[in-house]
Amino acid sequence: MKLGRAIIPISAIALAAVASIPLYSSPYIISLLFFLFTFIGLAIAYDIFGGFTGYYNLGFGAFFAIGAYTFPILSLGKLGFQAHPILAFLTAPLVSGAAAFLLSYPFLRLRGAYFAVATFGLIPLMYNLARNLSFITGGASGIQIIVTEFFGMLPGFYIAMAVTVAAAITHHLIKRSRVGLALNSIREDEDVASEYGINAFAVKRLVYVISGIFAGILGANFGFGLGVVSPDGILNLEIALAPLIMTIFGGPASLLGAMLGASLITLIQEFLWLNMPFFHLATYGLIILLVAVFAPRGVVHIGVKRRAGRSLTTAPLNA
Amino acid sequence: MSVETHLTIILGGLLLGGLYGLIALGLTMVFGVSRILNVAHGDFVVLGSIFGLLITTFSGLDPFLIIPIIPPLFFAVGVLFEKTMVKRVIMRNTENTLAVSILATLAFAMIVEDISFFGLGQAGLNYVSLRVFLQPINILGFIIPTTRFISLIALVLLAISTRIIIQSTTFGRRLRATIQDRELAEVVGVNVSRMSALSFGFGAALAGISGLFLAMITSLTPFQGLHFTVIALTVVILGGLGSFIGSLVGGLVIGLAEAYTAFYMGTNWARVVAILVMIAVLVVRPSGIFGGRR
Repeated sequence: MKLGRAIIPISAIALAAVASIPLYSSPYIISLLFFLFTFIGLAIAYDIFGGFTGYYNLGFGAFFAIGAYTFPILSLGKLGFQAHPILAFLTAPLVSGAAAFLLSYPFLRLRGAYFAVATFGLIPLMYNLARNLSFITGGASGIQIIVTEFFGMLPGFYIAMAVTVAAAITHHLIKRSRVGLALNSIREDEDVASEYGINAFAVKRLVYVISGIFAGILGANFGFGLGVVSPDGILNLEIALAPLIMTIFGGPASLLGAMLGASLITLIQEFLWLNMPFFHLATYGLIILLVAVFAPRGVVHIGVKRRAGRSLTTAPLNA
Repeated sequence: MSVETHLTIILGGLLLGGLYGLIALGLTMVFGVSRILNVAHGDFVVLGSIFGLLITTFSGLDPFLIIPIIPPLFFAVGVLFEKTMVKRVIMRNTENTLAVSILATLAFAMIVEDISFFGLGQAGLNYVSLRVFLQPINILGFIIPTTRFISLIALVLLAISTRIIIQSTTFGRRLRATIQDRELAEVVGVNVSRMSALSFGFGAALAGISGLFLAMITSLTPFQGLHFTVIALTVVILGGLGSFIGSLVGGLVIGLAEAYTAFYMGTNWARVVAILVMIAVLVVRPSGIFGGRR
């Protein structure tokens, strides 16, 4: 309980310390922090739907991509009208949220393994749309983002950090609310939850949309920070599946788990990118395999014995 | 547009659709028996075409002649996959099998795709293709593309023999019994654990032979494995779980839709058709065209 009260000042000091790092460090460290906070934010956003409901949302990267593309498409006038960059930036999460709302109708009717593989279809769908609609998206080479006043990874890092904090607060509030309780019961047994009067579809849709909104703003920021949005850069498997792997690795339905998982996996990936010329995808697959086999309930739960009648994060995934 | 053009498109679509149907059938057989959704199923398809390419390149055999080699080879591969990956890796976790199986088979798919892409790149190949060029034949005034026509005949024979295996052999009866009720099948003496291995072998054999045919009518890259899994799942959502006819009809719908999209809008767009069809079906009829709970 003492820790619970001290957590706000402690995290405020920690955030201030991290925020001051760019003042005295190299561009490489800034870019690393940019990636780190983007993925921590994404992992938390993923967890708001995937962790709480126990669904495996393999299509989460689609909302990230929608946000990443919306920003330059609007701010560079690819649709025939040019929006102010800030307006375009703020529209991105709305578009991805709206996409999540619409896609919830087909996908949230599925359960378990079907949901996982069906939503995975969104990744090749978005990839091919981004490549084929080249008059809007620039095709395979993508869109260069040149926004003269604000450019680069430094503002991108601060925005990612702010969004991550907002996502963390949202995560915490949802977990403590009635919606959080409803989600808990849906994860344990969706049919029983519905029997007891929970509108499972509406609750799932709510967190699906919230999760998509955060993914959208992080996507817009990611493209803005990198300076280019391309199908291979935004919709590759390593980025698309990262939030899922990170949350499972860290421990689903847990803020600490998402943060821990995202940090560890980002650092491992960074190490691989620097030290391995090829086989990135294979190595990444190997990491997923090891996580699935040795820590399917996450590292935060390693050593925690399951008590009878109380499951921590195991999702009933029978179709 | 001439009749011949339509005939060619329909022939291509039927061929593609029949192959999708067989791939999906393998996926649902495995899922029905072992309750494991093998995300790497599509990679057996790609491996089938890669093996076909390697065998024909190094032995100089005609692709049609190696049709009998692929199914037993991939049956063995599938059984091996079950004995190692499934029994030793996935089944280690008894409490969360399905979740672990999605992650583990996805990881396996990524590893296989990356390694085979690297291997093919080393051999100077960017894509897998086994095009066979035979002179078109003229039947009653219609020009028929011979390769596709022979492939279609071979595919029909394959589908019929698959149907006979599932419907009339002891293996098929045990397979269907296990899918319908695992416990009851065990009570009446079916070795369910053995059926799991055999179903993986059967599914991999269907996927491998489909991959060989696919390489003959189109070209593919190692990274298309996951794409084929998504298509197979679309077929399952369209046609229902474990139904032979449903899989075939679902596959033909997707195949024809892709063939016509490729003709009118380009092959780039054909790849999104299956996923759009899946979304549309889920909106209009969540229980699929042939019904069934999922």
